[in-house]
Amino acid sequence: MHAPATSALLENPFAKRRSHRETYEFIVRSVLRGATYLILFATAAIFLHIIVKGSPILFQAKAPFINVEFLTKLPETLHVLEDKQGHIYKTDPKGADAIKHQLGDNLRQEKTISYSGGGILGPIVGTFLLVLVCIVIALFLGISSAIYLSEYAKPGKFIEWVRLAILNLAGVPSVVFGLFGLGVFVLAAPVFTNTPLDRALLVIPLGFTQMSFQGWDTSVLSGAFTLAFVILPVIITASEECLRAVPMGFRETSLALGATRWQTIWRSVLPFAMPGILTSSILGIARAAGETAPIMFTAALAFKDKLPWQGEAGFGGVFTESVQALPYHIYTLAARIPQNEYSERAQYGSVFVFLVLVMTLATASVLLRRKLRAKYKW
Amino acid sequence: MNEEKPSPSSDFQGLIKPPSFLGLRVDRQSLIKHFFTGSAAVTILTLFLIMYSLLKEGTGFIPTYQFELKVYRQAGLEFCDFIQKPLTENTALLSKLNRAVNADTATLTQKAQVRRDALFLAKGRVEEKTARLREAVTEAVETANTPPEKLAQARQALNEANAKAVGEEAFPDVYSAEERRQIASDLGTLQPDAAEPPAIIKTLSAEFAEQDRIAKEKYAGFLEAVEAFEEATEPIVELHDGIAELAKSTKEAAVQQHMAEDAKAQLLAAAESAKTPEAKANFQKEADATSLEAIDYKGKIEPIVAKLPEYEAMVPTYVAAIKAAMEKVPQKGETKESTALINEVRKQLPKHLTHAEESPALMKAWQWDKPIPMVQALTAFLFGGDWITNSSWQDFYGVVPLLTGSLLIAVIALVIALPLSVGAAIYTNQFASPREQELIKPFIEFIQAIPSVVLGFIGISVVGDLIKETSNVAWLQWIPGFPVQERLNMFNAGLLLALMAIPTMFSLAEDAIQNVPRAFSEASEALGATKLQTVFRVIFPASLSGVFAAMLLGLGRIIGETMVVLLVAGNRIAIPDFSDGIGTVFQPAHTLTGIIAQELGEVSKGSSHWQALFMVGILLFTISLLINFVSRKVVKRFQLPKI
Amino acid sequence: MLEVGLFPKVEKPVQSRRVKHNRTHQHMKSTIITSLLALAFTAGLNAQSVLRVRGSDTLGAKLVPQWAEQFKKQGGGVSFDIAAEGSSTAFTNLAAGTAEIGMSSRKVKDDERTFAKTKGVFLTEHEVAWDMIAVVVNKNNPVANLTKKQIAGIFTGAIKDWSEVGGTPGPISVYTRNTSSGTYKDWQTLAMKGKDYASSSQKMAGNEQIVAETAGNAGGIGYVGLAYAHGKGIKAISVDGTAPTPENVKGYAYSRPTFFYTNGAPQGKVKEFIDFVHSDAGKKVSQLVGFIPAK
Repeated sequence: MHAPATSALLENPFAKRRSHRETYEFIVRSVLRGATYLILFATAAIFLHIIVKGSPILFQAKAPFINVEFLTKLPETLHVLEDKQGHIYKTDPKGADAIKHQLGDNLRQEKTISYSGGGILGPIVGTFLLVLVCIVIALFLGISSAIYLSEYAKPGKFIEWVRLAILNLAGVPSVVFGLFGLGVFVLAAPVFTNTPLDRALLVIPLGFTQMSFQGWDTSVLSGAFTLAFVILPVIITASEECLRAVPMGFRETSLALGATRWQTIWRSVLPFAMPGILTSSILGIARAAGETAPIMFTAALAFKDKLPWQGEAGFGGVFTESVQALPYHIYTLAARIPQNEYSERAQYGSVFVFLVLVMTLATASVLLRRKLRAKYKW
Repeated sequence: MNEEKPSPSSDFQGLIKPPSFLGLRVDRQSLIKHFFTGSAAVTILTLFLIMYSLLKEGTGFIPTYQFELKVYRQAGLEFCDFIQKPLTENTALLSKLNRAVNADTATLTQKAQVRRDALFLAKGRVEEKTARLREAVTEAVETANTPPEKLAQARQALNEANAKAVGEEAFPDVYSAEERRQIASDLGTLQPDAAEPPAIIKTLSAEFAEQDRIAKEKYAGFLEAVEAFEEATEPIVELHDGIAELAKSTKEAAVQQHMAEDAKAQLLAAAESAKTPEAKANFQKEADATSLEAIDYKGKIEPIVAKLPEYEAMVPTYVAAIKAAMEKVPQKGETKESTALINEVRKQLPKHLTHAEESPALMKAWQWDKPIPMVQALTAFLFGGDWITNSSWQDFYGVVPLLTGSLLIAVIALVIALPLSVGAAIYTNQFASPREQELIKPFIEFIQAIPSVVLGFIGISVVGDLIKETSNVAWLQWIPGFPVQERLNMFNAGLLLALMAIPTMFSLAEDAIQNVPRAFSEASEALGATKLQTVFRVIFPASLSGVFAAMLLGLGRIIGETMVVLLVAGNRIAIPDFSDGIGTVFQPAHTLTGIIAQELGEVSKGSSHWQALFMVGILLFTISLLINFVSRKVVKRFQLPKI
Repeated sequence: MLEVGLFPKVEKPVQSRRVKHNRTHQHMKSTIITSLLALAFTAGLNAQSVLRVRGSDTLGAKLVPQWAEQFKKQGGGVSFDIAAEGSSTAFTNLAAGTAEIGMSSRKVKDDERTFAKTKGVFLTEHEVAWDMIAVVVNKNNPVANLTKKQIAGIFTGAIKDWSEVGGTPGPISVYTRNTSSGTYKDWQTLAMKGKDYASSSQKMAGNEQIVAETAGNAGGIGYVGLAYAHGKGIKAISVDGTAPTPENVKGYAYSRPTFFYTNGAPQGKVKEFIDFVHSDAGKKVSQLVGFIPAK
């Protein structure tokens, strides 16, 4: 029961024996410390597992050290061929044909594992588009609301309602946001078209065209809007905190010099709050990139053999096409295909890339915030 | 934002009179202010839009479900289910009796069975390992004019592979040395074109057949009793199936008619607005072709209800037959399991018989035209114990199994997460050195960034097997529920959700402890309390309301989480069987969030199933609002004095 | 601005039967414009046209993607957008005009046909291949044969323990497909006389997940399309003594046809693709994947 440091030395004969109370304290403290480190250990174990299994797929010993193919190819079916001598060939659909042709009658069996071949470019692009559009919307709405809360609002019923709404919005389950996105953006948002669909809720003729409330279908835009509302509370809270951190003196000086309220905000408050807002919102990006349930019914697709801008809509497809997204891709890989030596590459590879992506964002946010805090100390 | 940026020259004017903005004489500053106010109002608007979109799709559920329940009653499906209920009970009891009699016969057959089955499995494995070479032999045999030496070569290669595969087999300790030798030689020479199975297999199969015969002879009485038990239901089953068929056809007609009504209305509307005459005629023709014959429920229900006296007459015969069968069931089984099972059956039997005897009276009281009030559709949703969709008989949308699944998983997660996160919060805030704090806090914050789908994947690929393997460890068998059968279960999901909830709970709990005024601890220490006493008697109680709020918000996060439960919880839509005690946590379950994610993408828009899923959404939304409300109240009620 | 689903598919001729009531006039106008455009850019647009295929997981997870790959390799000049969430989704998507081909492992239900009709979509059926539903158990389960009655008992929940069917004592874990799957419904009709599944059954996302769970659970039982019956760790059992092999397609209890559905008679690329499916090359693909080609 002695502390390890003393046992190494010659025991001090005059030292007080540890009392029962002290032993008791030591035990309680150890239990608490154990609980803390158990959490850390469990998390570390998960990370290690993914890194050990996933990093060999992304990195390689030869130059260019990164498995470029995995990051630049679209997902495709993996073909596993076996000849009658027991040799195994893993290949893509085209390669399978060549090998089959070559083997002729010698082909014994062919196995196919969906989604396990190729790379994950489609999901990466999809997630990138979703997050990009989402963050533009969320930042615009979030910062505007935060400016109201910190610069304009006076105590009263309205601000109480707003705060209550933010609080409750933060607690809404993500799958309910999915339902909301489906009901509002996919099925009811306004579209300009000459030929409104039957399901449109309301059609307003505008002369040259009609505004039809028929929704945006499952598309990047629907998904990004849904995600934007998922992260809105985070962005508002963080932005408000940063705005409030700008000292009152800045505003007072500006107002005293005759600037209008808006000039004060635009010239003397926002520039100092902006770095903080942006770094904190990186955490929002990480959250948006990681969510699956809100995009399930609004944007994501299990499989698509084209990038969004390669479709009929051309570049506009970046907004109007449904896309593959990393989190949904991982869901598909986890639930729809078998767990075996052939599918592991796609599964752990995707999880690893995804985790690296999200964790880099989270780390960047934490580090930048710390740096900023040291820089702006007023 | 840019277009609202004022040009410097306009500022001066702005002091005197409102400058023009977009041609309107309004105060630009107040316009800007209103813009920002509007943005803030978006949050409130969103909340209302969420409610609106849920209610818009969800509220239609009540009348739709009411209609479906009405058809369920009027077509007579409900009537048939009165008979179905005792039948279902009968099969449950029969299953137990079957298990009991099998446990008894197994005393005689088990050894032979194990000997035979182990051999079969070994043969299967050997054949699998040598599959490629077996195919080569088959091909060689089937191709005409294969040189004999080539065939011999293929056979030789197969025999070698067989021998190797047999060598890798670890046979259980049920064979004699002589038998082992024979197995090795028989399995070692397995050829795909052999006319007969290996001799040893024949021997062992015959041995089992013999034992089985002996066992059947010995327990003939018991077996007969079980058979009689099963046969007792036969006339009732026949009657039930007959009227069920009638009821189902009525129901189908009703659904058809309902669809036709909709179709006709839509086609007529289409014809109304059609621009070209031929299109109009086309729609009109389609609409006319849709016939709308009202369903004659009364006429169709009569032959069904007419069967009641026949059924009533069957019941006493059935009860007598069951009682007679139970007479022949031995008082006590040969084995412990069978005795336990027989006792269970005996205990449940009186209740079953009463149910059977009471059913005719219930059916007499039943009226096909008794209306179903609106409220009943809602209560059937909120308190219904069955969630059965896409059924050939009748769909039920009862949310109870999903709710219990969600709640049970949440409780598991909380039981794990609460002590860990509160313990970690106390340790980090009160005991850890500053350097340790620097490590722990960002690390735990980091957990929050792990996407839930990644945790779900870990649950499927790692944690599930880990739990299963651990549960097979011999010295852990005292733990209730071990060994675990399903790798996807509530405990697995709870474990991962606990990890997800820990960051929220930890940081809120730590804040709460941090917010306890210094004066509290100073006063405590001044009175001579030790550190531990100060922490547990002063600081922790003072922060309790904050910790409670942390727990509630953690709970909100757990109940609302989707991907982990969808992937890991096992998707069994049933109220868990609580007879396992604590072991219940190792059963699979389905959840409120999971069912939406799993089924919404696949049902047609506007159907009752679709609406039911939106109703589940409303329920989830209400729960989240409630949790927020309670936690705010708690924090407000127990706010600490500012010192 | 956003114009989602504004123009009808280019390969559809002007007299397409897909009638959009209400706004037929505008529809005609835009159709004419698109046809003109199509004339101008036939080559370019043709290379880009997309076939959206929706529906059954049984067909959509393996067979159809491979047909698609083979078709593209033969110079089909079309790209595919395949989602396989269950047969019901074939009909909802066809009716909504968000798919050109619906895959289904069961016949269309009357109410689905009527529903599609109200949307101006007239479903045409094409039998594409036969499938057998295999009953799979864990590789280490000694049970190798079950009767139809026993199988019905297991899936309705009347039989709960392996000892009741001559296996090693232990509870039975039943794995089924999710409710929108055509196989879910087919199985109910073929094997369970339309009775409901046991409430203790677990609903799995697809065939592969049933295989994975059965392989990981010594007491597991499930049903999968024949193409999936040879997975790792599982074995397909005989039903009433008949093994689920392609030779036994007539005698086996649980065989069923699978279908493509289109809106009206297939045209253009859709027709080409369906013709390909019925060609020898297409049949070869079906066999390779474990289906039995349609006659």
